[in-house]
Amino acid sequence: MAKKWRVLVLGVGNILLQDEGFGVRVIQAMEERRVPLPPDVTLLDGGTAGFALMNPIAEAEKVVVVDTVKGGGPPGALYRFDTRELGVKRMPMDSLHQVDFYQVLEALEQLGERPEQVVVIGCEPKVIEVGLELSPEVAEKIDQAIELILAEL
Amino acid sequence: MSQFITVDPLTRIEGHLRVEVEVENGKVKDAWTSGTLFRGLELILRSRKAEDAWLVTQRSCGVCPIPHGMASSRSIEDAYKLKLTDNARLVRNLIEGFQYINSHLLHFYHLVALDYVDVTAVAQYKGNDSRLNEIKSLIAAGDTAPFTPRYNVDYRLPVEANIEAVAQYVEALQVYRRANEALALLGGKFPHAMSMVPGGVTVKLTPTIISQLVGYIKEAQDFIDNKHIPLVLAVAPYYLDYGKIGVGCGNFLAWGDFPDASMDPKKQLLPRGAIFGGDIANVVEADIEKVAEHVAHSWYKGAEAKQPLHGETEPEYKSFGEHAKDGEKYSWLKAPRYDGKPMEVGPLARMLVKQDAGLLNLAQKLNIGPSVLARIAARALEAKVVADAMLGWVTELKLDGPTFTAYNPHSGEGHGFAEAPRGALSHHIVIEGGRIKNYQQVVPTTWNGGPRDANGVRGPMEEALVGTPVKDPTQPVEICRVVRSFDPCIACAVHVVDLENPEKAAAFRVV
Repeated sequence: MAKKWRVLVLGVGNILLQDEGFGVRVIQAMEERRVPLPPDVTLLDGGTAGFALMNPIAEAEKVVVVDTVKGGGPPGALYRFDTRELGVKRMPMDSLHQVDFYQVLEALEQLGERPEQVVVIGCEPKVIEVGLELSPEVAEKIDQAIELILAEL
Repeated sequence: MSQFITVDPLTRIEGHLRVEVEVENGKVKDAWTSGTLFRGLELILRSRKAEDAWLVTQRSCGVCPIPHGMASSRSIEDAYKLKLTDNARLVRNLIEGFQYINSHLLHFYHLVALDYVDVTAVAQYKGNDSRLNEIKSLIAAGDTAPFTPRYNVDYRLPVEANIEAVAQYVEALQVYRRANEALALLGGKFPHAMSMVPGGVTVKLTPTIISQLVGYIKEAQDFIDNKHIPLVLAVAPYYLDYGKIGVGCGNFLAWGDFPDASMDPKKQLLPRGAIFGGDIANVVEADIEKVAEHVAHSWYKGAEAKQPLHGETEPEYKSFGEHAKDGEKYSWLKAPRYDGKPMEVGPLARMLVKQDAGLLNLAQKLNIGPSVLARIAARALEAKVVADAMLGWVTELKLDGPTFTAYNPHSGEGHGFAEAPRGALSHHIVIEGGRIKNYQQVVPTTWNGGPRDANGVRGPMEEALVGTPVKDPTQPVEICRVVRSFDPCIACAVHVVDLENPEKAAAFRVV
């Protein structure tokens, strides 16, 4: 079945927790700058939504997730990986508020609707505390993150 | 000799609920619930434009952006004394209705069911449903991670009931997704509901949208009536002991939601009211003036309990060490009290305040009172109450009716009430010249999961845990069942991926 979008670029994270909002800030920057995109590519600010992202994810052949990633590098380090390369440990849930992106992918897998490829572009955070501003080390990586995203399209 | 158990669900995320219980002679003797994420939203909002608050507060929760947006908009409407159009009221009711269906289904099938349903029973499935066979092959391959509970669970259902529940789980996910499609029609840009502005909604209704909504609602009704409620009724008899476990404080509060044309809080589909001392037939009026938030055991400065409109958020953190203790501060949650009393909020509170005949009859038939089982049943029956009402609201919509009431920002004080699926929510705003001077939120899990108050009285969830039998302290599934029955919410910062293997992480680094 043909999907609605060839690529969904999905920024996730909480903008109320400074660097945790990196993914959303990248999407906002792409929208503000009107970065030219092919017509079959779409941007989405996914915020902290969990299962609510099932529909938009299922509608794309490929998903590029922009997220905050703790990989041990210095603040602002950028990572790129395919979610199939990643052995994410599944944590048991006690609240719906713990649903993360990978559980959404698992659920879509069970429904046979997981997109063919899900790539994560991630940035190492410096500060995850209440506040709307990105730390300077993370904010200055927005341009490079956009380059990495465009290379995925 | 007593023993302490801590259920500290997730350590890799920033915010979660930590539950500590003291067990003596196989029973919980005392309990402490501790919310570990500081909610400093109030600090972010100060001095911003009042009409932007709903955009920011929606972000405080990935599960309930809609009720937060609703409560925020309503606080401003209260401050400016705005009157909503009837169409705006109906559209908001429908948006929130779909949110209820979504949340209640997901909570039961994705979270609670694993406490009662043994997914591995699907290994014995012999039919030809492709999805069940898919899960069967996952089990055969030992790849049961999504379904494996963290503790050994005393599953009690017959094999066929387990299999039926798993089949419904897959179906529930699809109903959930369809309800999200409906929300996207009404809420605009998903997942954040962009249409619920102070003064009304910004949806342009069309005949197509209305007929689609009818279809979505009927689909949800069909699932709730023919699958969800029957399953809850089928599971309940095997776990009747949980009709006496997790009783709680016996006080219930609902601000209520889903107003009718009169906008009278007592005439909402889920009405406003309070119940005290387990006297569930006696519903009294509820008044925000009687709410005060205690901080004696919360990591905030000050000792005085304050009405939310005048609340303060000045953090003062001091670690409690290994165990939470009575005399100390041990939670980032404040302890809201009504008339000095802890109050349970959520579907059980709402359905009791409503005096819902379906719930009261079921409780009588099963011979259960407020409990784990009653909370689960109330949630399922409430989904039906809401879905049934939604069909009526759709027919009342006027295609060309106005949906927005214009206003000029000025000064004022307001309370905005909503019932999030998991309980009473209120936003409180003080506006000066269109700018926010103070903003406070009292969220459901502060009511349910808050710590002791200045008088040392336990919060509702803490109280519900006391007396819970714990068969094996290393496998405290009973504790989890009690906590999960409240459908707790804790702030969302769940997306951080932790690459635990540093070598692998280095290989992924590109800049």
